[in-house]
Amino acid sequence: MDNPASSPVLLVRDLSVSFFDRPVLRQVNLAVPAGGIAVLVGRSGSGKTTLLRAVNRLNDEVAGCRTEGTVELVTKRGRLNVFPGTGPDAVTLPELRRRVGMVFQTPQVFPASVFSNVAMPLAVAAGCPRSELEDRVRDALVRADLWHEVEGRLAMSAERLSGGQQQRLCLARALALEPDVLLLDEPTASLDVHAARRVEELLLELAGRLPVIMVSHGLSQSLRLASFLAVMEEGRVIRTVCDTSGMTEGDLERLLDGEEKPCDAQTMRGKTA
Amino acid sequence: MRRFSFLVFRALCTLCAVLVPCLVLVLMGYLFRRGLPELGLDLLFGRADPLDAVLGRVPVWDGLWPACVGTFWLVVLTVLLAVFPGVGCGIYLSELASPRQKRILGAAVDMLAGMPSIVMGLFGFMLILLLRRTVLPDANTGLLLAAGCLALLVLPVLTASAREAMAAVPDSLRLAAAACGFSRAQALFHLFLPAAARGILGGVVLAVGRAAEDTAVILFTGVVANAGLPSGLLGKFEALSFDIYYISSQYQDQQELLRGFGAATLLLVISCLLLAAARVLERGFRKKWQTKA
Amino acid sequence: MRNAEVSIRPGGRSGEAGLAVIRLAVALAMAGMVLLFLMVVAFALPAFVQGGGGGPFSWSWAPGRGEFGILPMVAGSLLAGTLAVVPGWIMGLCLCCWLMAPECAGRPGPWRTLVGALVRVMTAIPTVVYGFAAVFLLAPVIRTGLGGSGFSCLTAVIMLSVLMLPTVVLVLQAGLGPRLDAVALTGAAMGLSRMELLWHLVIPASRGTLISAAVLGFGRAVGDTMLPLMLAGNAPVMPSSLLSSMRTLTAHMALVTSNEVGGAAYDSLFMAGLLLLVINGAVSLVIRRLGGRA
Repeated sequence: MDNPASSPVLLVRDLSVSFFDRPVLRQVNLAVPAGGIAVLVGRSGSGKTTLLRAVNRLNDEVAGCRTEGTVELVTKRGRLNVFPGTGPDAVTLPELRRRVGMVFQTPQVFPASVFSNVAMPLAVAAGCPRSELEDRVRDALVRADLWHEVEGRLAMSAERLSGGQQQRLCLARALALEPDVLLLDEPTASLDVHAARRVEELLLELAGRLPVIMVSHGLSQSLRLASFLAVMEEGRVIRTVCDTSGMTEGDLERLLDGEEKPCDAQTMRGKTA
Repeated sequence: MRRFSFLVFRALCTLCAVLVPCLVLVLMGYLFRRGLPELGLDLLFGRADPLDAVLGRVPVWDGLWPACVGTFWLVVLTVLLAVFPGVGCGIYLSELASPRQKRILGAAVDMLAGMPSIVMGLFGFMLILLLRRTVLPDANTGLLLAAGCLALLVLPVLTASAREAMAAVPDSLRLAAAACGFSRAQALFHLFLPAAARGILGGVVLAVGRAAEDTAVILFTGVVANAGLPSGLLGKFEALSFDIYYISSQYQDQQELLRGFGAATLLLVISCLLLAAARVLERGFRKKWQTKA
Repeated sequence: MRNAEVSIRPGGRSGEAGLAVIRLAVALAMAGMVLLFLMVVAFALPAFVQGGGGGPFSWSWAPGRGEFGILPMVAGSLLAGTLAVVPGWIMGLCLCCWLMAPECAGRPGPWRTLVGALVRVMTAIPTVVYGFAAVFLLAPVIRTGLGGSGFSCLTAVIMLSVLMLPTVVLVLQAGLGPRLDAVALTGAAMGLSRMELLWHLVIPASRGTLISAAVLGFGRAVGDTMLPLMLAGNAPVMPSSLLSSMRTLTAHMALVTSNEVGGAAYDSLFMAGLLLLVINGAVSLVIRRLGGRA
């Protein structure tokens, strides 16, 4: 069994986030191991999304946000000081967000064509030369399993795609920037069962090459995808589970309710860094 | 007693609901009844040949053509001058300003919005007086000056519409843009501005309407009754709105009076069409974001 | 302890040029506004300094005799504005209430939709067109019905109140609408119609909006040039009755520029401009205090 501290991809220490002095995260400590999909689970309002958004500092875009603590990413390109974001290994916010891809709960396509949805962040935010643009867009769409569906309709408005297609387009948009980490905020919550399954398969495939951290609302989905589970309650990570094999939804349900640990799960409570 | 006052109030409401539309419809109906039959090529060109007049080969003395051309150039110049600062101000207020800047700049724009248009005209007039006394002894009022003053007049319209259009860009799009690694400026220019373009354009159309109808500003800044086609940026010019005023006070014969009715009808129709266009643009803009949310 | 807002580092340099362009636009707009205020104030100052007889602060306007008093015009402007606000505000309030209170369950019928659209159209009608129509329609009616020349204080006031009507209605709608919606359901449950709710609950609780609408209407009436110029008769004296001729500051300015060539007449012109600026500034201030929007 991996020791989560030995090869972590994400290290969170004493992270507290509040909006207009209403605390959402309280002193969170978490080490997410590299490899596979890490899933944050918890009741609604437990702070999953805020924790996820702390990784690419998207909370900073929301009014009244106040963050304390440290967040650090360890990627194949080296350490990344996410927060407080000072010191020699710090990067600018746009640079950070290019290196940390994110997909939202509801598909957030830009009001533009399918092609420019992927190409615009590449060209504008990442400064990709025009000559490479077409290849990289195609590459990203292929990786997001969308290419053969939109091949002849690249100039069509992205808003005319179906929900599942839009979500995969968002995934392609994130992948095109070649991120070091991929963040997903309940990526299948607004999709029907079929489209959700397709995105799940895609995520499992991607996780082989790229660390994925996601928030999930479904217990069965969490068990299908997770190689690492972090259970949240009232702004804290109350447990982490490094091996989900053999767990049932009932086990997970009990974990969410904060009851005693099931025998095969490794837990961590109030770990101090 | 309370019951009685309420009954009076309700009766008054119903009365106004009938009275006001009637009043406006009577005024407009009267105008249309006398003005609509006048609309036609004769109204524009009088006795001159239309083609020659359009090409500027013959002057038009008894038609509205020079006034239409004057108003057209006036509006074009005004929009050219006002769009950049006006829309820029709106974007700044909505996206970049600190709360303190918002308060100050917002107050200044509000104040400008309520300013009587004749004060803008006076401003242009003063500018010319100042130029005459200092560097340019033969400076005179003209098309460019009028457009500059009109630009000040329509600036608040543009600022308000641009500000509202930018504020209507949904938060989800802002988050998605940030998550893609766009810097604030990149997201603004590549995503939010195109997204808000329709709303901003609606404001431009409204501004065109304001510029076309205003009379008080140009009264001070170079409009004359019989200038013919404007000779250049600094030349005197005619304008539709001024012609209406001039004819109402100085008309010589029945034919000129009828031309006034024609001009008033024409200006009214143009204004209403511009308003309708602005509404269509604005409504399409809202619908787009509401179906998305 | 760190504050997130402090530690945000500026985004990439790319696109900063665009931001500079926007700042330039703001600077341009501000420069225009500041120049406007400065010029109007600076040109009016000499008239203050000069003082003595024949200056702008007297009750007699007779350029031939060297008398350039604009006080009759100041009084005319304030009078016309005040007189126009009364019917304009009452009509606006009633029309607004009628528009917001359909008889059946919150759905405006075709007649209300039509009148609502007409109010919006009224915002687009050029004032010079109003003036033109009134010269040939309203003025003769007043001449034959009430006597006088027809070009009188009353004619101008009637048209000014029509002119300000859409402004008043739209401001009131924006202010009263949300308050009415907030109590509409509870009120309906108690068996009160929307009209009753407006009269008994919403209007008494909306003093700020009501005053804003009146002040804004007043500002529009005082600031308008074409209607007084075309309809009020333009005699530079205090009107003795509703049917006598009068002159407002705005009309005065328009007339002076077209008739005089300089000197003390211009001083009175600049003073009139400054007064209009001050009146408008006061209106803006009151509106901001009351929290209404222009």
